[in-house]
Amino acid sequence: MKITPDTKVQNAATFEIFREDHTMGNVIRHKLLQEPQVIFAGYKIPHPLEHNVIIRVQTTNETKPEAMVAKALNDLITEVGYLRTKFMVHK
Amino acid sequence: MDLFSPANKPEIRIQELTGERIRFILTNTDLSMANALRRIMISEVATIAIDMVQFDLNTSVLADEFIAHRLGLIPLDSTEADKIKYPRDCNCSGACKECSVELNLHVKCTEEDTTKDVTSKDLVSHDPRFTPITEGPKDAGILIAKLRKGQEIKVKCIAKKGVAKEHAKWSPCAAVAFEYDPFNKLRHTHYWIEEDEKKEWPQSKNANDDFPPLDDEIFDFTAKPNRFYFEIETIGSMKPEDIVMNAFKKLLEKISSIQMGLHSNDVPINGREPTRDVF
Repeated sequence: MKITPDTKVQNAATFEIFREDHTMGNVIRHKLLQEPQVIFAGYKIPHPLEHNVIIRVQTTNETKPEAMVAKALNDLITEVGYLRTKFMVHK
Repeated sequence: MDLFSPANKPEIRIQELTGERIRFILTNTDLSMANALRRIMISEVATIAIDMVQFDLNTSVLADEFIAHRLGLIPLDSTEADKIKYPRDCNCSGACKECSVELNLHVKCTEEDTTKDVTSKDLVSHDPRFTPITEGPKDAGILIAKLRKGQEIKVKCIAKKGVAKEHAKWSPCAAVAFEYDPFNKLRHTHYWIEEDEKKEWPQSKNANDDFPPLDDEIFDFTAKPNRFYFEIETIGSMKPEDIVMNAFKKLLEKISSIQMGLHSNDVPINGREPTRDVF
C-alpha cells in the first residue's frame, strides 16, 4: 500500500492498494463513511488494466486519515469474524 | 459506528441447505459487505482445475486445443483445495506434488459398429483427494469426446489451484443469486408497466421472507437496504456451505493483508518520516 498525504488539504490522504478491486474498495469506503470524523471518503479504479484501488479520505482535525482507515479495517475484521462464527454455528 | 449494539448485530439465517445449493438471509449489515461476499464467492474462492495438458496421442476428430479446453472445464473435487499450494507460492520450477495434481487419460476405441464415449470417468488421478466429481455409480460422467474404431486419445493433465478471477473454470459456483428489497420499497429499480404493476410483475420468492409495504406507506428516502437474500448453486466441486465459509475466510485474509500494508507504512521509508505539507 502507498499512502500519499494531500499537499493542499489538511487531514487528507490517498491510499493506493495494490492488487485489490471493488470488493475491498467499496467495503472500506462504506465503513469510512459511517464514521462521523470522516468528511470525505471515495474510491476509484483509475484504469481497468491496472489492478489497483485508490481510496481518498479526508477527516476532521480530531484525527488522521491513517487512523480512520485503520479503524475501518478493524471494524471490518470484527464484523466479518462475527458473521463467520454465526454462519459456523447455524450450519 | 456502534457495531455491536443489540439493534444492529449482523445475522445470518440459513433457509435451505442441500448437497448443491444453499439459501440464506444476511441481515443488519450493509450493501457493500453483502456485495463483497457475493463477489468473493464468484471469483476468489480457490478450487482445483486442469491447467496444462500434454498430448501424447490424439487421433480423434477433435483438435488438441478443443479437448484441452474441455478438460479444463471438468470440475474436480476441491474440498481439500486449501491443502495444496498456489503454483506461484511453490519453490518448485514447474509442477510438483505440493502444488499440482497429475491426471491421465488413455482411451482407445476397439469396437466395430459403435462410437466410444470418452468421459471424465476415464481420467485417472494420481491423488485420491482430487478426482473428477461423480454423482454416484450411475453417473455416466462428463462427455469429453467420442471415438470411432481405431481412434485413440492419450493425454497427461496437470491440475493446479487457482481462482475464477483468472479463469472461470476455477469458479466453484454455477450461480450466485443475490437480492434485496423484493417489494422495491427503496425504489432502487423502476418497473416498466402497461397498466398495473402488481398484475404484471410476479413477486420474487424472497418476498415471502420480507415485510410487504402498507397500502398508505410513505416513501422513506433515508432507508438503506439491510436484508440480503442469497442463493448459491455449486458446480459440484465444493459443498455450498464450504464456499460461504471459504469466502468469509478469504475476505478476512484480504482485510488483514491491507491492514499489514497500512502498518508497514508506519515504518519511515529511507529512515525519515514522509513529508507532510501543511498550509
